[in-house]
Amino acid sequence: MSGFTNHPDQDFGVRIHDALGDAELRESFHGAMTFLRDRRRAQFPDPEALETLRDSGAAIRDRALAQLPDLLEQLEDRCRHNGIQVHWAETAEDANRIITGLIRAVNGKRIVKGKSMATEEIGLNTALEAAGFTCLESDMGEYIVQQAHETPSHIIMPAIHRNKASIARQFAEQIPDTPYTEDVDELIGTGRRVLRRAFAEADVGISGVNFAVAETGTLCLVENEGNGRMSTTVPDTHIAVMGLEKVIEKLADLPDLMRLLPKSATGQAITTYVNMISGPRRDDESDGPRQVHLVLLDNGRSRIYADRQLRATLRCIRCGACMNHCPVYERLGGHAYGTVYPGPIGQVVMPQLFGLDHAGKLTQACSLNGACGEVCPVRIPLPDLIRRLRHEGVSTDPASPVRGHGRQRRFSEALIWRVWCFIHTRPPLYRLVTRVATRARHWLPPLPRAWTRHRAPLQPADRSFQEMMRHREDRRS
Amino acid sequence: MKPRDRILSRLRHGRAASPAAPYPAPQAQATADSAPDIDAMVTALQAAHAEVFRMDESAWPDHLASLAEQRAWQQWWVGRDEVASTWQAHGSAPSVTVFEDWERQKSTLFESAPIGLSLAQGGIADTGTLIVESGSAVPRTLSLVPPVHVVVVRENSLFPDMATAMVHYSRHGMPTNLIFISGPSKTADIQQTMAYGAHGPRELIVYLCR
Repeated sequence: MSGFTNHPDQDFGVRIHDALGDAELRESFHGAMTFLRDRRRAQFPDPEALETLRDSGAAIRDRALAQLPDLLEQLEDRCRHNGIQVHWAETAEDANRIITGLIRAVNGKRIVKGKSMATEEIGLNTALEAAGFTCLESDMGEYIVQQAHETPSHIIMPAIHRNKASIARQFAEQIPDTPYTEDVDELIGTGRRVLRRAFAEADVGISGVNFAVAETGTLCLVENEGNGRMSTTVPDTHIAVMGLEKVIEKLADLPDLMRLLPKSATGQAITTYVNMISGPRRDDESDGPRQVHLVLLDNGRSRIYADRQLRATLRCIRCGACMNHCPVYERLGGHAYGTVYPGPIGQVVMPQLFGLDHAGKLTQACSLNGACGEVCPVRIPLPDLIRRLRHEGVSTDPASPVRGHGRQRRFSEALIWRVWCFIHTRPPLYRLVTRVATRARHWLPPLPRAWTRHRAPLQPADRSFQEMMRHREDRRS
Repeated sequence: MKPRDRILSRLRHGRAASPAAPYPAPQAQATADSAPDIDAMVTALQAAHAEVFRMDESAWPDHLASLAEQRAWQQWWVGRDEVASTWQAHGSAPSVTVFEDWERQKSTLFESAPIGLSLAQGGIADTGTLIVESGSAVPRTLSLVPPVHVVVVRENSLFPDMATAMVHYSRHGMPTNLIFISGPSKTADIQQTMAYGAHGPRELIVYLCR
């Protein structure tokens, strides 16, 4: 279903082990996450105002979700009225087929793409390659990552795992007439030079969508570089791909979301460009695309929508603040997750898209410290959702709404909890067991190596807690 | 059933099966009814690495002519707005190309258009944002492709904040492309180091006119 060929759970442990052992990677992520957290904090100096704004963000997104099918119909209607053609895709394969068909219909040869997580999710680049097209990523970070045949490691800063020396080596090796330099301005200048030519020659531009406004049929894209504007303005055909949850009711909803998104994402008050597209070029206009297409992507979202609690997943505005504040993400980096969306939001989205049988282990890579939930600009209760998915992973309830539920259940683990429960609900037995365990503590079997490899071995105390308390009370009286 | 109808029916069914009250909206805050804060606009634009000049509207052409001399700017690309005709008629006789034929001029625009000059239809004071509407007078790419972008914006066209701007567009309708510009193009994609002129203009010069 995506550019990632294996299921996320496969070799997850191996990837974690490798990531933790990679000192350079850990330094890159530690530096980048500290930088992004500090910048975000500086943008929200007044905690009370921030909480009110988060309330507003959550309410706007929730109001939109409460009317989701109606807003999608309104959006389609307004877009058609504006001259934007709307397509509906139930799955990733459907979306890729629609997009390939659109490119063929205009006889497209050169394709550029602005940064878009939805197209990463459906594995569009791979699908286009299979159909004989090459699609050039035009966001600087995405361009670097694509040229190195890698995948993004962060949803906002795709090349965050790379340092400038490695990018300098890559450019010098892969781009003709490019001397090795670690000067960032020169490196960006090289990217600019290559990509400008691509923009000028492109006949199809592909982009994502940050928000779609149902009231006016407007596609809203935020960015700093200008590649999004290039991709949506210069080629004759513009194809926008959007997860169907990204619709909002009205223009008046935009200001608060715009006060939350760039500040939460990169610690900016506003992005350099806010690009609002409400139609193709009119006859009296001298430039702009002649065709604009909008592909509305379901790909499992309608299933997420059907559960009252999990529905909050769809509030997400893809800012990345949850991963920037996640202690696990900071130490692992984005690639270890093996998913398009890494970090806390990925741990909630991916198991629901892939099924708990293939991505359920992701939910274990969490200490439930709660940082993600505290920073989420639209108040997605991420820790609660992670806990819920852990529960669904071992749940034998046939009515569970999550695909692959119960598939993380292990007989040994279930047995251990059954025994634990049996002992803890019978006080005399509990006293007996703790008495024996404390007295026989030197003869207990050793803990598994999975525990002792990084931790000191545990041993029961010489008296149980209850005994100690009783002893204390006896002494007092 | 078509994919569209299947998706909509799944959503409607899902909503009916597990209805939920939406997250309560906070009490509406008083919207800024005040005048746009011009000083805040200047500060925000400068913080975003733009150059800002404030003056009477009649003064910008002479100022731009002397700036052009200092910086050896020679070739100007304009649309068909008021700023374009004012500049074409200026005594310094600047060399001006009118960008009007996309098919014919596109490759020249990309390869050898050093400076774009245009009028912004409005602005947002508190974020230091210029508002550019697509239309017959100004091509969208004029504010994007040349490495230097010079913009004239009138103080009386500014909104205090984005909320008031959105009220305006909700009432009057959206142009095919509404662009908010808050500085020169930039990126921090390489090791969080800020670099200007990623794909759009490296320099943004703003004339804020009374």
